[in-house]
Amino acid sequence: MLLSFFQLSLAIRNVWPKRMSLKAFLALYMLLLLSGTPVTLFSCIPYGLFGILLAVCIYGLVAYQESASQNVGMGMIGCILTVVIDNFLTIFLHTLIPLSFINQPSISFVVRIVHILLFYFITLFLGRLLKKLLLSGKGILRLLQMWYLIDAALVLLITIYLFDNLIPGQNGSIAKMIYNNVLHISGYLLVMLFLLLAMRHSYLEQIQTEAKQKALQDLQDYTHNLEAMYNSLRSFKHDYINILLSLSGYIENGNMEELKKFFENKIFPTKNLIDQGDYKLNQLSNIGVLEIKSLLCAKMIYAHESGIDVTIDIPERVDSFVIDTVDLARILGIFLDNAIEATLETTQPQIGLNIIQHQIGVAIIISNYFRDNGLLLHRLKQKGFSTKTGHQGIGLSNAQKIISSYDNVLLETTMQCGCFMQHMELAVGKE
Amino acid sequence: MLNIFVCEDHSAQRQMIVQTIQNIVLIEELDMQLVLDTKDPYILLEKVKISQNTGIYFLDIDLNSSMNGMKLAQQIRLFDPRGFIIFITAHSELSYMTFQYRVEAMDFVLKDNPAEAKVKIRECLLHAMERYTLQTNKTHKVYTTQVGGRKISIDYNDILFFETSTNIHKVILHAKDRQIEFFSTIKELASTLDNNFVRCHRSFLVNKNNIKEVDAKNRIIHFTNGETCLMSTRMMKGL
Repeated sequence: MLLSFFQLSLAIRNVWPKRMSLKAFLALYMLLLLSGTPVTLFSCIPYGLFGILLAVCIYGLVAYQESASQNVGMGMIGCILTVVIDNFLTIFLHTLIPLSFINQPSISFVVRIVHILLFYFITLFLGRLLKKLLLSGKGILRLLQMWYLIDAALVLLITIYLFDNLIPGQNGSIAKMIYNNVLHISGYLLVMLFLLLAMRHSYLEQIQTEAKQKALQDLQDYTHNLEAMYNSLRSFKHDYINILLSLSGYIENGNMEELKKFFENKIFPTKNLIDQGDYKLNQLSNIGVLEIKSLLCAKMIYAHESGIDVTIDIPERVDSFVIDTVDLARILGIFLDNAIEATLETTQPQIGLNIIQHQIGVAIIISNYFRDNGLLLHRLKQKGFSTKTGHQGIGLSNAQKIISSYDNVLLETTMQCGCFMQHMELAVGKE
Repeated sequence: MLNIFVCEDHSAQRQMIVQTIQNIVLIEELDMQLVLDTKDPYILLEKVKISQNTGIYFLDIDLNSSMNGMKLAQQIRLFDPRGFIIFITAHSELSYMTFQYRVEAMDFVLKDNPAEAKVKIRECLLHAMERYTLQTNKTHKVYTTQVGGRKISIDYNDILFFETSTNIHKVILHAKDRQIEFFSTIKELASTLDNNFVRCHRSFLVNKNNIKEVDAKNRIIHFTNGETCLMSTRMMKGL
């Protein structure tokens, strides 16, 4: 009995979302033993099964508060894994080794050891796989609605259990019992699968609506900005006619001295008007992806309003950014926020954004001037490092994580002569 | 000897540029000669095709011709991959980065302000000369790799180490002040680079010349810029 509970806690440890220390492992083992003892001692199986599950739930809740739902979910998966693999291994070893051998004490001991070792490695492997599948980025267990799923699972389990007792003839033949159980369990699994998929679907939809809403908001800002630009252009046109008229006045009179003065004082300075920041935004119209356009526009307007000299250069039309726009928007948001913050510390804040379409993909270059205070590049990229106190420093490492999930995105970071540059290459065709 | 070419459609401005260049070459005693100044990009291209020396090109972007400055520069690159291309333009909204990306333009002279333009031209010529002498005297090796649509060259001495990315297809190059991702494998790199690069861990390939300290007890390698990487006991003896 001790052994089987040891196996159970081993399996749970292997699928646990976080690394489990030896102390935590022993605590889990004790808890399981405590809740499991009645099963074997008084052979009241129904209570025992729920007791074990309950123990896992409680443990999961108490252990790490912030990932409680994941803990409970993974703990349950661990239980299932234990039962399945243990049975499988027993059958496997029994078919491999003749029964007469096993009865000898020395061999049976060796078989036990092999059994446990195999069990450990299989759960370790499956645990890693499951963790990768369920807990990474968009994994199902990351969702906030996880609690509903666990609730639904428990309720379903109880219903089936109650239902099981109501069906007559259960105690009659074993074949019928097996038949009933198979029916129940497969039904249960189907319902769970359906729930899981439905939840995932709704979650993804929710994310998309949020992104759309954000894009719409940004787009409104963009329109406002365009209107303002148009208005200032109109007033400039109006001024321009006045300037021409006064010019022709001087020329008709042949007053060269006055004309020269007028030109130098009044007309030549208007060149500053023309290359003023407002007119730079128009290059963003070359971006054909609405979400990205609105994001860039919002950030650039913000930068411009904060007094940063913004340079935008998008010489050719870009209709596709190859990768998922939500991911790209997250990366660009992080990079631009960092760039704006860093450059505001300098006396002459300046950022640049270049998007270049070429034969094999798109290049996005974000550059900014920063105050050089001996900060090293590799420190910036570390998770948990931040130049600001009270910040988590997860921005850049998050961006890095998204980028490395794509095979066709390459990032180059340069920090030279007071200029910080993030250069992203998005390549077409290599998915 | 460096050849200087000028392409500008506005004749008065071209005169100004040529005059400036000639003065600077004379005053600074630079090893350069003005070969051609023209308004027609096709004439310039013909001349580049037969030219033997590395060139310095001052190009206007808007040339009033079927070929603009950018296309001309791309053509020049085919014949003179190491030439120095400098754009002279009034288009202040066209930023330097795009030109650098496309044709590795060296610099960008704005003609809005003539006095500033003269200073800038002088800087460009001196800079080109410096780079040219550096290139010709160079003895150390350079690692070149393709990243997306462009080639990146890095001096062996600047490379600290290569690291595998979490994505199996990518390798990250750590240099003194830059980190570059590209497609390759550590194994492939180890066979192409020279003996100074040693495999010290399953996922690291380090440049021996840039190691500051090897901490054998904790199995950590410290580099000259403060960066660290791991090493494994099995591969330690290579160092």
